[in-house]
Amino acid sequence: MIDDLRALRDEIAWPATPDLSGAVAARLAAEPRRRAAPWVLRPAIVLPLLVVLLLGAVAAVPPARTAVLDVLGLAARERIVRVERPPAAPPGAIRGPHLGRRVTLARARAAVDFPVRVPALLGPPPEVRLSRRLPGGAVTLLYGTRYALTEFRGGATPFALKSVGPGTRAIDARVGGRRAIFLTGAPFAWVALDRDGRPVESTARLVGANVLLFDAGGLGFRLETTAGLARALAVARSLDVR
Amino acid sequence: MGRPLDPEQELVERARGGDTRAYETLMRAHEQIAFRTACIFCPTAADAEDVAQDAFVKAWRALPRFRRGAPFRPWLMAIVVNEARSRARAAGRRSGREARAVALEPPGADAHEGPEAAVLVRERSAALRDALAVLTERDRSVIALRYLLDLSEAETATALGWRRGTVKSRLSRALERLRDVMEVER
Repeated sequence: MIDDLRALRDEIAWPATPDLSGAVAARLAAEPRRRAAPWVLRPAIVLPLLVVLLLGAVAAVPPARTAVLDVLGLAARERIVRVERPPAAPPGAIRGPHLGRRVTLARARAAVDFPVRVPALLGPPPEVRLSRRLPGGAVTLLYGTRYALTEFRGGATPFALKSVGPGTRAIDARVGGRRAIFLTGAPFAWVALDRDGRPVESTARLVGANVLLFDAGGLGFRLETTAGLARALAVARSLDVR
Repeated sequence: MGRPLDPEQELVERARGGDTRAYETLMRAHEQIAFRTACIFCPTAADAEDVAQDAFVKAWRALPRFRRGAPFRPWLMAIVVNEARSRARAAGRRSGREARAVALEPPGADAHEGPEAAVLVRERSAALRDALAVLTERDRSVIALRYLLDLSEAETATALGWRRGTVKSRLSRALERLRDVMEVER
């Protein structure tokens, strides 16, 4: 089969390659010089800048810095930054277009390369969403407006960054013998970072619900819920991850 | 002191500094593979051209964030693949089966026929092309990048945004499905 494919490679009549370099060079010539690109308020610039400002705010406030040190480098490969002035409170809904398109559980399972786990405590999810905003895809199991469990391939690629205000508490917990963290209290901002560390603007949003973060077996789990810590832990543990 | 840069890395460094001539040289070196990669994902050659052009423009804008010394080609391929996928999503072509790759279409009916052995080889290739065309985008893309465009495993992983281990396992499954399709169609 592989030999056949290699033979096919030599036979394919690829369309003639157009003069891309010439066309793109002309487009670039029409743009302002990149090095001279001003500090225009483009999200691609503003978001990292915001991150820097947040980190600066953290460094400037000793209690905040301590809080950051407490929670950095934790579950689900997410980075958490504590800031003094959190964003205004969102409606608190755990649902939204950021979760991706609605699919069946079987379809979601076929679309990603990791096993999608269902918490035994909650049973089959009434609604499943599949998002491609993170490399490798992310599957969210929705249980009304009370639970949204997102599962994705963790690793060097998908990162997320949170800015957590002083009104948000970060509580250490354990799921499947691994460290987990439960964020509760004031809302926080969340944005996924791509593999180059750039914020993925389309994922930026405010989270008003409680969140339990943990990872296991190379997967990241994020349980957003209006329930408290004990219930969230019970749901997470019923995934039976090790 | 760091190691000296190879000629391509020097071009990348110059382009990172805003040198459009250096970038044009880089584009010329990679435009064929970029275009053919786009062909794997796009329904027509015109779409593939648009995708490859936009990818080069995006790569130019992203160059200041390019990691110094990293291989340029797989990084560029990843941008091409992402651009092609975004465009397919925007066009509502969510199913890979609908987004047939132009480059994999069977040859026309006027294909030259030669001796019997050559005809058999061509038939086998045509069957393979047909089978590839009915695979999902994910299966087809990993097979095409790896074997039709001859990207290395590491380059395929970067281009598709997967881990190397994932490329291995998905490639193996994709080849199995390709075999299945060919068995069924035979």
